[in-house]
Amino acid sequence: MAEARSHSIETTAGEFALRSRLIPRLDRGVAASWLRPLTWTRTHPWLVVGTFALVGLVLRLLLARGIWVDEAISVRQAHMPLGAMLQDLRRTDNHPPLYFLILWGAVRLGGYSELAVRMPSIIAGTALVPALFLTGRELFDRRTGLVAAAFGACAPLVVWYSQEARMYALFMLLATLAVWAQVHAIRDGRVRWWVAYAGLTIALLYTHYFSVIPVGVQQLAFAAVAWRRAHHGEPIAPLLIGCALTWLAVTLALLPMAPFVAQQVAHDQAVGTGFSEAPGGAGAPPGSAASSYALLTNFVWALWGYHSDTTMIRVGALWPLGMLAALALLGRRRSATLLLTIALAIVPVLLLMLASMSKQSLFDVRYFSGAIPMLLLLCARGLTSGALRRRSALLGTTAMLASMLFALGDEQLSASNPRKYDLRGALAQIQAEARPGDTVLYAPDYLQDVITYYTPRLHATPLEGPIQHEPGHNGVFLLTSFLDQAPVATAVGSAKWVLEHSGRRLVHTDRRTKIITWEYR
Amino acid sequence: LAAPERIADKRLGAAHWPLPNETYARRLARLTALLAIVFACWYLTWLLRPQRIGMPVLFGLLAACEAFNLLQAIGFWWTCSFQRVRTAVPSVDPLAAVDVMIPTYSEPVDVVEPTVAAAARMAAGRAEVWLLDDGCREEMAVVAARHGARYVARASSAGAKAGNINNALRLSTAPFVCVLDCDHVPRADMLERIMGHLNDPEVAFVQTPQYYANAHDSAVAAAAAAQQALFFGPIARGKDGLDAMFCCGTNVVFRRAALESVGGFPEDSITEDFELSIRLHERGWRSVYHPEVVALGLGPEDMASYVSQQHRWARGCLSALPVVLRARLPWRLRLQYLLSASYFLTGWTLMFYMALPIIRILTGAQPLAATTADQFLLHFAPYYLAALTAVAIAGAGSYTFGAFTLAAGGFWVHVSATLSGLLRRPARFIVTPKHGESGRQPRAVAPALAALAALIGVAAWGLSRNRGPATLNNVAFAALHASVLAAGVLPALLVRRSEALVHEPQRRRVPARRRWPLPVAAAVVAAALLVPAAITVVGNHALALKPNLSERGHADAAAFLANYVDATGRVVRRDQGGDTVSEGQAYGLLLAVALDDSHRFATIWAWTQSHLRRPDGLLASRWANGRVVDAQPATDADLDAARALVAAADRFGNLGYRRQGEALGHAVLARETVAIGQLPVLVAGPWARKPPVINPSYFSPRAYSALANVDHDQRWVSLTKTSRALSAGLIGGGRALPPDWARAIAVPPDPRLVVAPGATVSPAAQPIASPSSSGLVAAAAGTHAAGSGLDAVRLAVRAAESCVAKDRRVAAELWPLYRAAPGYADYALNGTPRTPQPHAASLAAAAAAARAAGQTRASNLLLDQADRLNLRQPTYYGAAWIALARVMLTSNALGACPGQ
Repeated sequence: MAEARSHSIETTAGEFALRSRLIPRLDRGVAASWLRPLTWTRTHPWLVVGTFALVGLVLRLLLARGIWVDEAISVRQAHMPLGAMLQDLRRTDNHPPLYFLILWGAVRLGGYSELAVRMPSIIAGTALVPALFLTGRELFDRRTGLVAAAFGACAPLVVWYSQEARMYALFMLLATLAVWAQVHAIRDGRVRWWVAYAGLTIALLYTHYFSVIPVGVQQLAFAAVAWRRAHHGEPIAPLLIGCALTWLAVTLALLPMAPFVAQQVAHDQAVGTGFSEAPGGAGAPPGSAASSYALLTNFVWALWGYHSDTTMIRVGALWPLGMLAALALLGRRRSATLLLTIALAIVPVLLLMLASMSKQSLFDVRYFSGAIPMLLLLCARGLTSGALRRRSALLGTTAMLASMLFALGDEQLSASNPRKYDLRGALAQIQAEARPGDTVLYAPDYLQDVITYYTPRLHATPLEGPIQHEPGHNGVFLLTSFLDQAPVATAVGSAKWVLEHSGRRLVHTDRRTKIITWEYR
Repeated sequence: LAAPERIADKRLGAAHWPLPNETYARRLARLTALLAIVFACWYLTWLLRPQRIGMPVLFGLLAACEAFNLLQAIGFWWTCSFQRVRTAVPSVDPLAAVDVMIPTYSEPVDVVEPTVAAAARMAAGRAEVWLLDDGCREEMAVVAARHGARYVARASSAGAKAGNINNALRLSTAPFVCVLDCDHVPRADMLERIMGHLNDPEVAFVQTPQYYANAHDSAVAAAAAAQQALFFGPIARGKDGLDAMFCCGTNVVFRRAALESVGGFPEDSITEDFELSIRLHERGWRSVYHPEVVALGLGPEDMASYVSQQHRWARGCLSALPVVLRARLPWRLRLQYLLSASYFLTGWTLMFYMALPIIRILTGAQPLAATTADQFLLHFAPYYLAALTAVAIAGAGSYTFGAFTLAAGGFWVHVSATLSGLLRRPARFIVTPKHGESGRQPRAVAPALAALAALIGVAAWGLSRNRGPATLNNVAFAALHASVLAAGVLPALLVRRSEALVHEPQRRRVPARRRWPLPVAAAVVAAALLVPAAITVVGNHALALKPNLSERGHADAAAFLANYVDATGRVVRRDQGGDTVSEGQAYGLLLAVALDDSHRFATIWAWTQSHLRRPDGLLASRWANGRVVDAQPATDADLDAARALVAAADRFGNLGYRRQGEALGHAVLARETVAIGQLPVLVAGPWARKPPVINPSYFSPRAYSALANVDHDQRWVSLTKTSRALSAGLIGGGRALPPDWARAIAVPPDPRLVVAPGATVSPAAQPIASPSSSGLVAAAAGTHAAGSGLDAVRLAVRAAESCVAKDRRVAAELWPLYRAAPGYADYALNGTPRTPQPHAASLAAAAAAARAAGQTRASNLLLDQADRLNLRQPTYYGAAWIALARVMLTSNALGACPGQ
């Protein structure tokens, strides 16, 4: 009876006050210690989710770094007229156009400040918080949704890409919403869910080419559901019709992109680059090559963000604890939605890992960022599933959130984060010290767009091979990064030798996070 | 029973026992088995390679444990692949008489009476129920009378349960005998469901599952039930498919003729059911497993009960091993019995796995060599996950984490049972207690607690000393074992809150039967953990065996290759303008061999050949900006490259490398040595032959030895002697550090030789050493510019890695000077630093000298210091020599010395 009462008080907020007066003192004691906060989340879930989203927004607005090379490329493209931008994307890029179109519109509304160019990602990253709640609630239950939303608000990698003027935050958001719509379409079958699913799938495919992997997994899920329904003698016609119409819509929507893709592929083949953006810079040792440690490193990145190579090697060394986690899964029940979430979290990673055996740069957490929300959902599910007691679940969730917040601080503030490059600070220093007629020599050449973004008026020239003797009186700033790459190191070494033997002397060395500037006069 | 109590007794409820589709279960099991076998091969073919042998004792034990566990796993996969899911068969004689026997000894009435009552209902009209009370208790006689059962009591309890049943067999006559433990309540239709299987006159018995109805009453009961679910699920069904199901002592119906053919239950065994099955199968009888639950029983509810049960099973099954080996059984049956009996040895393997991180943290020794944790994970993880998946799928999720941890926490039971058996201590039949204790039972898990304390203590100690990846990896392993143990023993440390099965105000306690000689067992476990550690310590220090390439060594070597070798195989001196020197290529080759990285080795060698190789086979020394900028060879690079090729030939099984190494060695002998007074002297290069210019740090005794083993050219042996003599002469018994360069000149009367530091600056001046035993003399330079810089630091490392004590003595003599001021980039020959600049390579040299002088701890500290310095001020040369020093000084990754 008491249990029934304590259960009933969790129904509505209005009844809570009334009934709490009726239940015995002992039960109220229990409610005071454990049920009250959980009841609050049950009666006002959107308030809780809103709070999480607000916290997430604040974290995303606390921008702690300057524009990165890839972002500068996006900004340069957004500067162009629409037609020219699309032409540039076709000729020099290897991403679909949706994000760039959004950015193009955003900069015309908000300008070109760091905040403005990152606003689409900030919005998408913040919207991911309620999206995770919706998807978690639909796939599992309300508690899972709430915990996933909390994770989404402060997961370091999600925050990182929500602060970057690139398409990854949008990729995560759309991938999550597509799952949400798919589950609704399967369970509910109403047209609006099929329309939503088709629209989100189209948007997803227009955002990142690797979204074809989760979309493929979702099609397999449709097939599994159809097979299961047929096996149980249930009607499958509505499902098959919905799928067929979705495929038709997606195919029609993708048709205009075909020549776009063809031109990008042709260009990539011609220059032999493929997915060769500027290197991620996360140091070769832990996470770049396809290996078991690379898999571990990317897993840790996905949950706890980027950290120094030393930290990652140490964290990677803790892999035996993964054996414990595998053992802990023994005897746990597996629902169809859980299997779908696992597949969406794992298949993109494994496929890209396989692909990276022929092209190493493909195995990067950015490229399967659509799987990160699924990973967060899995973590949330692991903590809230029935196998754990409520107290343990609350404790685990708190510990996980605390670890994420700690990792977020380290990721954002630590200079040893392998993806942090203080180009903004280095260029500000150069701008402050440069005199008329001075030259900035820089290497590698893909720093150009960042230099143009921050110091458009400086005379900057890339170091392309060994420079010749250039005796002169003007100052030269040698701006360098990526010195772990042999061609860059060679070019910089040669340039320094030439500058030092051309009558100039080194007057200042400015060392910043992974950026060195030598000033010669 | 009163109505409320009957409701409370879960044995009267329904069982949740889903049965799979036979075809589906078999296919799934075979598919997962196939996958697991592929991954097992992937792992074992990687593991069982000669170069993987680290500490031989540990490697041998690891290989044995892995082999044992793999055999158990293969047995499991094989069994599950033949699952048979029988259904009830109508009996040809529905009224065939059955004697239902319920042996009891000390169990309380509330446990026994529901069984007797249900048996009486089940047997109505066709069977007689026998309550066999070895406890001679009046209340049992009353229970029997109340339910119309026959009550049998013996004057003595000889033969325990087996003797009790045999006694009743002599009194009864029915052609079939059903045996029920007194806590197993049969369903009313039990006999109808299973008697049909006895239509076949060759069938001796029909076994049915043991189902624990009290699984939700305690963590121990739940975990024990999950263990039972795995056994009476896929394993028992698979054994039935292989006609190898054995009797499990309860919920079984025998054909009396079969029992009589083997003289009844064996009374000299504590697992009478197991040995009875062997005898029946030996006589050609067949067995059947009916997978449907037809009786609900009680599992052990507390840890002491569980331990008692497990110990009895372990002792009995292990004692039966010789019986199995002697039995005249078909191979299929023999293997199945061996698998079941030897399962109780798995505790030994668990104990060994737990000892590994302890040994590694305490002593640095590990079973594997020439590998990295990354590589281990890559090969082991798929096998591990596939094995777990196979268990999860075969058991349909019934086997839980709790079941695993409970089994793992009882590892010491297997150890104890084995030792008891080996020591021929008498075994006693101990009735598994049916009511759980609600209090804490730390004594029941004392050995596991001891192991837990050892793991936690050593992990904490390791963390307090070092937080590097290697230590963290082993701490994580310790944490893994500690977590599993902690989860396994936790139920024994908590006060249980659940209610007893039925209300029993005056429950009898039998504490004496639950006690265990725990101090003895704890001592055994502690000894078992410490003995391997002691062996390791003895091996390392007393026998002078070198441990394998540590993970620290791996990390340093891997870091050098990752940071300084580009994708084409070029070793780039990033801090020196991005050029490449032949010595760097040779370092890369050596480290690739040490890391067992054949691909990297091939890449580096390919680049070296295509860019540096000269027509005479030697290597041009410098390459920059796309071309060779110094075509003159450097002898150290040629020698190191030749050594690396020879080592790679052994490591990777590539004879081509051997030929190339031999050819390069010949070129070194031909073009980079000079004969002075009949003795060959290694000079710095072809350019340094006249006048002979030497670099003492090029002398490499291990390279000479490796090349001599290939071509058996005696000049290598002579080079060893001249190099040692020159080095010894130059350092003058520890009064000077070796110079970077020296010029060898002959002084009258021949064949004496003077070696002058600073070869390019002056001829020899004053000797700093007296003539050595070989007749070679070392002389100081005539200029103060001669010094001991970064070139010379290599001498200490190369001498210290030598297998010859005289060479190591040369390195040891440098220790006092290096100890006074270790780690500077440049010294005067008298050991005074000439620059305040530290350098990691110099610290590596000091570490080598310390190690040669027997100061291992100082050596390790210096290497760690070198690591830290190189992290702060990374240099190509420092990174190379830290890695090489670790590889050469602390491992046999480049080849072992003779006798090791």
